Amino acid sequence: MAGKRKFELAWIGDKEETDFESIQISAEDLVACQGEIGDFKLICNKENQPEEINVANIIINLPYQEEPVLEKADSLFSDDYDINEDKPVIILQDYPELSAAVISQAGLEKALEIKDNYPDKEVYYLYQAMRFIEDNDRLYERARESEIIFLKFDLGQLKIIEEEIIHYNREDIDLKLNGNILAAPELKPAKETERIARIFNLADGYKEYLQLDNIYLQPTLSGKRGVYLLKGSRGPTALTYFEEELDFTLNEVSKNLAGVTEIDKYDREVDDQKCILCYTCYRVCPHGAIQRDDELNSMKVMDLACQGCNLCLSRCPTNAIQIEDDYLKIEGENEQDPILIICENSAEIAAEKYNSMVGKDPLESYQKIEVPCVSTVERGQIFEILSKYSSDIMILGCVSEACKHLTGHDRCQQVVERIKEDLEKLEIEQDRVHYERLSPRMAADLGAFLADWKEALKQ
Amino acid sequence: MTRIGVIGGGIAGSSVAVELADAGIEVLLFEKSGEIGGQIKEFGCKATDICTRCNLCLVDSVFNQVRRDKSIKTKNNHKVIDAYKEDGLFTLYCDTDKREEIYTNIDKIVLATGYRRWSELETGTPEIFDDKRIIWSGEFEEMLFKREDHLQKKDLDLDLDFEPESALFIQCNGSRSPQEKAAYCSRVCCGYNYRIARVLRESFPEMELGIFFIDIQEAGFLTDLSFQRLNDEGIDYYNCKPLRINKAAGKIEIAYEDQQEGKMAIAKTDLLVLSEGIHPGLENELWSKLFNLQLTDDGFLEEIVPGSESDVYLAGTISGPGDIATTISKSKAVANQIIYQEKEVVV
Repeated sequence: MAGKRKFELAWIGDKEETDFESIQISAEDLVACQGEIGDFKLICNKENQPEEINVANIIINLPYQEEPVLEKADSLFSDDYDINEDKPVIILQDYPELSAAVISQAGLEKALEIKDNYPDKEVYYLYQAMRFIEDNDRLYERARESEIIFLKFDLGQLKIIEEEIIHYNREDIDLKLNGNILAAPELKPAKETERIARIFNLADGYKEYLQLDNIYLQPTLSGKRGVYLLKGSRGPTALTYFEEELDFTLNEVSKNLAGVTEIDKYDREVDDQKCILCYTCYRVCPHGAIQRDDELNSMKVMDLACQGCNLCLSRCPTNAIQIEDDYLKIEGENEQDPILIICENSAEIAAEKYNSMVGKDPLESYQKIEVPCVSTVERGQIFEILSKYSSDIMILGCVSEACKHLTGHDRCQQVVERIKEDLEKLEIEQDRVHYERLSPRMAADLGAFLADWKEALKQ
Repeated sequence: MTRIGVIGGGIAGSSVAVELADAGIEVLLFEKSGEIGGQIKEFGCKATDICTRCNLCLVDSVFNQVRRDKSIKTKNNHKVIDAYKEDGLFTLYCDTDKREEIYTNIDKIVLATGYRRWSELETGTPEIFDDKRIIWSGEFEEMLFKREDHLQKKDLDLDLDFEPESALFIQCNGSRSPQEKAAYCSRVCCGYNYRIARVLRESFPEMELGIFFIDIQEAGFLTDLSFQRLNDEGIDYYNCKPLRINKAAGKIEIAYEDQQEGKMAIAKTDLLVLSEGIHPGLENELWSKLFNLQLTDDGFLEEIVPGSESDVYLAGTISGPGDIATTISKSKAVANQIIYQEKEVVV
């Protein structure tokens, strides 16, 4: 290694001005990432000079790839466009698909710029929907006043003929426009996205972007603590609130620099004698918190990166990952009561809300197991409960795609299906295990549902 | 020890309070009503078979934390009516149920008093208020808040006197309308009405659904919402603002200009849902005077000098329309700015 350097923040891709001690690294040079928040080790390879760079936080800020929609048109984002003396200028937005709000802003600015420079020029503005961010409403008003001709089109009302002529047909208007077309390009995920996802062990993103479409990751979180995503790395609407998102991200970085604490008080230790390096935990961890410990030749859980879902523990085939916490403890007074396995991020919150609304705990007269994520449910554990207790088990997870641990709900679903298969083979009633999903806002639903279920079980 | 006064116990104020408390800062949270939660408190989950990203999942854990955290002193039924700053410290006068209360030695103020719904303004055509077939989106939110259909796998209980076979949504009410003194786009309504339409579609596959809008917005990161998608989901759309609502016996008739055919047409519906534009809060004018803030043309607030100099910060929809996720993340950013300055002072 050529040397070691330490920074507060690394920009992968474009750099923004900040007060942090920061370094800019190009996506192409990045080879690997180890460590965790506060102490990432980025392995770079620039012109065959390997280097290890130590950074506390990482922002991946890669530009979108701009794909032209028409071969012969100029890009709306380009300052270098043709203005032909005789022909009108045509701004084309939302072709072929609706575009993000930032395109409306760029389009309006460009149209006004042309109208300011060439007041006599006819400017047509073709669009499906004008989208509003920042001061777009004012720009739109000004553009209307400055006699830019806005033509709105719907599905099937606009055709491109031979890449040059636009056929617009709506109501009683039937126009063939031939002019200098400035078309909004389609914005696509940044280059190198797939490779970067592998380097940081991020879950599969949304439409090939790096960020999963999950509400808990808003606005710029990656699922891996201390790694943030902007622009073409984040998702299709990353420019809508770019300033706010950047502001949020930089404030998170300052907060991290002031000190990062572990998510809970429990240590998750990997027994290096039991670990067979199968990488199951590495693959299932939604937060990229598992790494290989080369010295011990086993996997390890990174304490600061860990978000406490315990998915790794439940999936380890050799039970090599240990925790002091008895997180699967059954709470309840009566062993005859039905058993609820509930997620602390949905049913638990809904129950508390129901209690505050109605003055009655909906979980009362149930035995309950509160888990950080229902994905931690194991087959062995369910069978143990089934053999020990006579009551039914209800697992309450989160609504599909609203899981704080990103992929938890689907993993739980798989486990429940397998349990049911096993029960069928063993000729035990499958109906003793149930799985339902809810959101923390379904307080009334949860209360009514649990009351009904108890009635149904009595019968 | 630093004391921060947060005015407004909705999602913005509560998010700021929680972040500050996590960093060990004492917070006084002033809420004019009897409990924290604000308008979002009784919005309902809009999940169908999957999450539709209404972001309400993020909300209740914040409010629960406000209730639990000892370093957040919540002052319910406290309406802040006056304030002054002396020697770098604020004094706040609050109107409570019983008497006036005074709070002193407050280092910084965060204003998070939110917005008003258009329906609260009680402008527009009064006849729509007494027709049971016409409801506000806000009323729909309340129905969804009470929903008992998802886990129980029942049809959504619409809490109406009749069983509608069709529903139409009209967007941009009290928004993009100079007559309503709201030329701006409220930015969130497209998203919430589309989500409501999807919930209806799931519960009532046969129901006729349609949306009137001027320009469909991204609306809270609905990244894949498109005309094609509305078509695929069997939701008719009318790319225009309706011209007239006629409360005929039987179905409500909505006159509009059919853009495809280029002539007048009439859409009929059993149920009409009106979106509600976001309007500036009543207190904004008072805040602008008390704390030297800029009142924009639309009536929202802007900083004149940055919060780091004035010690007054703005969080949430007090400074303009915004969706839940953006409100939360911006509020966190405000809290982090304050935390960062506190640390610097200590150094």
